[in-house]
Amino acid sequence: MKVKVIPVLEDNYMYLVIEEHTREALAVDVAVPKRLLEIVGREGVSLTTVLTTHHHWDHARGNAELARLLPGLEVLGADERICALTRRLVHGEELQFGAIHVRCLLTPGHTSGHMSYFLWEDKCPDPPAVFSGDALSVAGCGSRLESTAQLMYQSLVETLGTLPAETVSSPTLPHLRGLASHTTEGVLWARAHRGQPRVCAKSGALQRPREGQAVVGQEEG
Amino acid sequence: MKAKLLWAKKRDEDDVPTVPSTLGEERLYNPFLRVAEEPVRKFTGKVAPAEVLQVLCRERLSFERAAEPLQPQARALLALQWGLLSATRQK
Repeated sequence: MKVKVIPVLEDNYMYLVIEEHTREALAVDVAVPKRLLEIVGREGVSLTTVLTTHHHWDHARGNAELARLLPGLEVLGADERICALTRRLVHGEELQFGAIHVRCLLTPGHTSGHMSYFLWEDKCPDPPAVFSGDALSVAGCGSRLESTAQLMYQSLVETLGTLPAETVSSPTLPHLRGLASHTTEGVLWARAHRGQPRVCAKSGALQRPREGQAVVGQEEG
Repeated sequence: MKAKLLWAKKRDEDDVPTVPSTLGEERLYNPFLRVAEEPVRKFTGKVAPAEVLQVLCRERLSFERAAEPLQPQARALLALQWGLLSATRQK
């Protein structure tokens, strides 16, 4: 399982997950389809499926164009409001793409129909990965817009928080300013970054510190 | 937490992404996953996890508001550019 991290829209990420034996690929949260297709072309993979975490434009606005460019594309998610949705997923549903398994985890809070995707590969030393959209970010979470605090708590602590410790968490927004808010030094730093895009990168490689983790590629910004 | 912040700063300076992290790391420093822990309860003054979470969301919002500079209303700016405000003044 190879995961390409694609920075888009200044402070978001799209992800392309590649099944390396079958060369099939899935995309998570397509905001900029042209950019995604360039990478699909360069990798020589066949993009069959889009997993959308929720209906907001910065996660789903590329679906319609991508579906037009790739006839037969499956666009999956849990919310009817997701643009160009072809099938609605339910909590606990499992999908399979070659050796890659996907477990669909409904994580309401940010939106009522927010789905996170837990991926792992058979007979593979790579740790599993969770694509949590705006439900869980680095050191924070998306704002609660549509659900009760109780439901959001269940999503964060019971659904996402109980995944294996080695799970690689891949949110759409890094939200590191949230982390900055926890220390005085961080607050000063966040103030210095006022008006600039959030902590993120326009380009660069995401190198894994340990061996045996999923390979993550490098993309130009 | 400080170590993670240093790491993030370094990656920001090097212009490389600040994702991903692991769930194990998140459980250590992400307050939204730690709503049942004593320090977080104490900070929020609440005990029930959902209430703790609610206070954290509110605190985060006020932090973000403090960190963002006040933006003049985009519509008001546009109205000014189009000369719509002077039309009002002539009345």
